Formats: sequence, structure tokens, C-alpha cells
Amino acid sequence: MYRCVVDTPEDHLIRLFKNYMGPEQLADLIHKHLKNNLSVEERERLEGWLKEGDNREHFTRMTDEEYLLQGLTILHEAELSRESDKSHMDWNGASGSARVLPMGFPIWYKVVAAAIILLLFVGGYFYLSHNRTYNKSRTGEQIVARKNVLLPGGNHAILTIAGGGKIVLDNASNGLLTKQGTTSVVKLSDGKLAYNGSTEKASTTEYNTISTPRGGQYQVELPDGTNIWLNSASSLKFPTAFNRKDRSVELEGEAYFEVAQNASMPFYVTANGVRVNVLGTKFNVNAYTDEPNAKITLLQGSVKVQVDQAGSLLKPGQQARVVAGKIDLIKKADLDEAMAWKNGKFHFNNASIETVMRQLSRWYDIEEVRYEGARTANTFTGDIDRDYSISDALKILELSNVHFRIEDKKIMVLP
Amino acid sequence: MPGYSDSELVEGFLNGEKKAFEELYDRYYNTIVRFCFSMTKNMEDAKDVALSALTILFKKHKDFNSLTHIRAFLYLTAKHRCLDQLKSTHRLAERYKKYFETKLHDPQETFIDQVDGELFRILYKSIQQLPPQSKNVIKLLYIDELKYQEVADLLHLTVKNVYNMRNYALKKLRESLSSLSLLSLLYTMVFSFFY
Repeated sequence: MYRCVVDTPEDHLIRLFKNYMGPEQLADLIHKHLKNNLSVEERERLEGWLKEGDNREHFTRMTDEEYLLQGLTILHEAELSRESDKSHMDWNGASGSARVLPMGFPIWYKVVAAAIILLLFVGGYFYLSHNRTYNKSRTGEQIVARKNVLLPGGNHAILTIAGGGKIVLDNASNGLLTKQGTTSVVKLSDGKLAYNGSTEKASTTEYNTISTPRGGQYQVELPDGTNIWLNSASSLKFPTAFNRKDRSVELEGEAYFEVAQNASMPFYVTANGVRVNVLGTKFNVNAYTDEPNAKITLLQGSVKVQVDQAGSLLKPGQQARVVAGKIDLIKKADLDEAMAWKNGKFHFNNASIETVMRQLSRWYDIEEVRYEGARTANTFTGDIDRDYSISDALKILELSNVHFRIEDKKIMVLP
Repeated sequence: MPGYSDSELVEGFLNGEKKAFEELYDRYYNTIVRFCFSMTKNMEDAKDVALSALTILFKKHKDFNSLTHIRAFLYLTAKHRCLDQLKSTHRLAERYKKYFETKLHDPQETFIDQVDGELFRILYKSIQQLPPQSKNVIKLLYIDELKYQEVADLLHLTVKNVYNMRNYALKKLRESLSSLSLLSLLYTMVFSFFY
């Protein structure tokens, strides 16, 4: 084996490339440093880089063991949802599909989102793609009379504990809130409450209630590992420890459930006269009393919906609508619609103005919606992000021949 | 990942091949989520931002000609989206806004963000498994950002147990780094022996 001693142009190029330090090359050097495995030449290159600017500071941070452990923990956590999050990707978007969601745009162009909405008018489909560029604050001023009213909702909730005490979760700092019998109640960083019980059985069952105001949402993890996402203007009553034959919770309003499997302890949700018998699964319950019907939508697993004596077993993708004690089974439910709130969106599919306004009211805490003049018969189809300001949301709706006026916390709907 | 070299990946991406998209998604999803978490301190937000940054990237797939360019765009977009997210939830103090916005356009910052991301990608590939016993503890410490006392209360452990479990995780991390170095040392030794 012998090496060519003459420096050919190729060798020169290779050397140039070798010395080029892009992010991969630097990361590789730092990795080798961590492994204590740098060659002399590599060490020199790293040292050279460290002399520039703030690099040493960054290097110290990146090689801190706690920092690395935290990063790896997060990567590991992300890995758990990598596959399932793939289904949220709009792969076809790249090849120019017509369905474009307002996902947000880089602000360095000083152009904020474009609203493209499909409008469905009575008497036929009429698609209108309207690419809107706007300056957020300016449009804000056009419709909103005063700032800071009708803001989009966030992670707000109140916890009522067994003794009757109330904890406002927005103000409480993260960490242990209270102990309920043998169960610890902990507030986690991302608008989530966790209950963690000991294995020993408590002698009495205590109940807690978590309530979200209008414009609030919250997530609770029960001691059995069940996760529940509560939409705005909703409340959930649940035992702080499951030590009976079954797991029962009571819901008002809307929530999405991911129930931990436990065949020996069935899970029940009671909402507005409807009982849902659960067998380890993911589903949404919409049971607002001001909505015309209660909707139970199943994503995964199996649930049985019961009203009085009538019962209906749901398969994934199906929805049960309960009106006046009767169950209607929708074989192919609009899952996007049912899950939109949890995914940070409003999703309207052929919805009347009243339906739209009821949903907006709960999220933006609108006190009253008043209809002036002839009520529009148009229906609305499309998505609006829940983090839009109310004026941006109304602007999008105004594209379909309806107009709004905001007065304090009231909204007038005009033809 | 088998099948794709970097240049093939870029070409497939340019042509809008779904397989190339998926490969890029698999390569960067985790690290972008971590990058976003470092700003938003919220796992759900971080995942949302990662998904939307990737979506934006895929929509613009015709505009890129190298992996470096793709990655830079991804990090920059994610950073912008995180900033927007923080603003919209009123979690960004006024005095930080200016700082963030000036840093946003600093090419050196974006470069460092990528070094950081690539480092985690390499580490994650080489380490893969986190020590299972203390996984729960480090998750509560580093993702939910609870205090030692709180983790102890939650898991019905003593504070000392929690410390020990964290230290165990750190030890494992160190070990997996050095065992690799041993292996590669062995490898270079064998290699040099033959030449």
C-alpha cells in the first residue's frame, strides 16, 4: 500500500472539503471530543473554531452532560410520536394540491398567513380561494374597536378539590399542587395536570372537578394513565384514585379521551344523560348543552354509547349523535371536524352561522351574539386556526357575504 | 437509512418524491422537536411547530438544491414559528422580543442551532436507548421541569432516590460515549496494524 505523494488537483479539492466545517462536521468534532477520540489534526481544527466569536460559550453549553441528557430525553419522547405524527403531514401539499391550510408563513417576508377557505353556499358548491396577505395589527384595528378584548383562549382551568377548595391553575406554579388522600396532584409545564396514586387502596373515594372557563382548555392525566383533554366551557368530575370495580367520570361540555386499557376495570363517561362504556380507546365526547345534539366520535378501539335502555356499539371512524334520547349512528364521521379543537383548529363542514358562532363564543369568550337584519342562509366550510385573533377569524368568515361588528364582548352579525 | 445518499435525497426531494419527504421527516422530526422545546418549553407546541415547519419545507421543495440549504431553512422556519407561538400565547416578555428578533437574523445563530441539532442526531443514533429505570425520572425532570422534591412526591420516592436515578442516567450516558470510543479505538488499532 503506498500513497501518491504528488498533490493532484483532486487531492487539493478533497483537502479543501475536509477542512470545510459545516454543522455536520462541527457536530462530528464535538461528538468525538465527547468520546475523547479526537485526532491531533481534528483537535487543532476544533480549537481554531473555538477561538472565534462566542463559539466557546456554545461549546461549553453543548458539552454539558445535563444539557445532553435533557436533549436526549426530549428526542426520545419525540421519537414516541414520530410515526403517529406522520399522519398529520400533508405530503400531497408539495405537489400542489388544492387543499391549503393556513399553516403560518415565515415572517421575515413581513407577510403573515394567507387565508384560503373553501366556502360552500346553499344551492351548490362554490369554491373561493382567496389568498390574503395582511398586516396583523392593521386588520385588527379595522374590526376591533378596543384591543385586548376577545383574545383567543389558552390553558386556563380551575380545579375544585375534594374539600371544596379551589385552585386557579393559570396562576399556580408548576409542581406539586396538593395531596388528595394518597394521590399527588402535580401541575406539569404544558397546561397539564397529573394525578399519581400509590398502589395501596384508599378507603374512601374522593372526587375532584376540573373546569375550564370559556376560552380555556386543559389536559388531565388520571392515576390510571388515562389522558383527557378538556375543551373550553367544560368540566370533568373524577375520583382521585380508582379503587372500585370501575372507573367513572362525569363530563359537561366537550373532551377528548385516551383511556388506558384495563379490562378488569371498565371506564365510563357520563355526559348529558349519555353513558359511554369504554374499552381502552381514543374518542371525543361533545356534549355541550347548547348544542342540538351530543356527539361521541370514536378514533380507535371500541366504545358503547348508552341512553336509557338503548345502546349502540361504535367502530373506529364512527360517530353516535344523541338527540332527545335517540341514538343516530353515523358510519363515516368527519373525524377532522370532531378532533379539530384538539388540533388547535375550528373545522366547519357545511356549518350554519349559528354553529360557527357558538364555537367561536366558547373560545373567544364572546358574551353575546346578536343577529341584525336578515340572517344569512350561507353555510361555512373550512379551517380556522384557534390561535388567530377574533378579528382575523371574523375576516375569514366575512369572505362569505356576512359581516360583523364587535362591541366590547358582543358581536353583531350583519348581512 | 438504507437507499438514500444525501445527494439522492436532495434530488428526490426536488422532484417531490414522497419517499424523500418521509426520509427527511424521519431524519429531522426529533431534532426539530427538541430544538423547539428549548424555546417553547412545551412538548405539544414543539411538536406542532416541527410539523408545520416540515410542511412548509415540503411545500417549497422546488426551491432547494442542497441538504445544507434544506436544514438551514428548517431551523430558521422552526425558530420563527416558535417565536410566533410564544407571542400569541403571551408567554414572551416584551424585553426578550427584541433580543429574539435580532438573533433571528444572525446567520451565526442559525449555524449554531444546526450544530446543536446535528450533535443530538449523532448522539441519538449512537446511544438510542436511555436507561429504562430512570427514564421516568429524567422525563419529569427535563421535560416537565419539575423539582427534585416534586418528582420524589409524584413517584413516591425519596429525593435521594431521584438524585441517584438521575446520576445513573448520566453515568449511562458517559458509558455509552466511552464504550464507543473504546470500540473505535480498537478499530483504529486493528486498522493501523494492517497498514
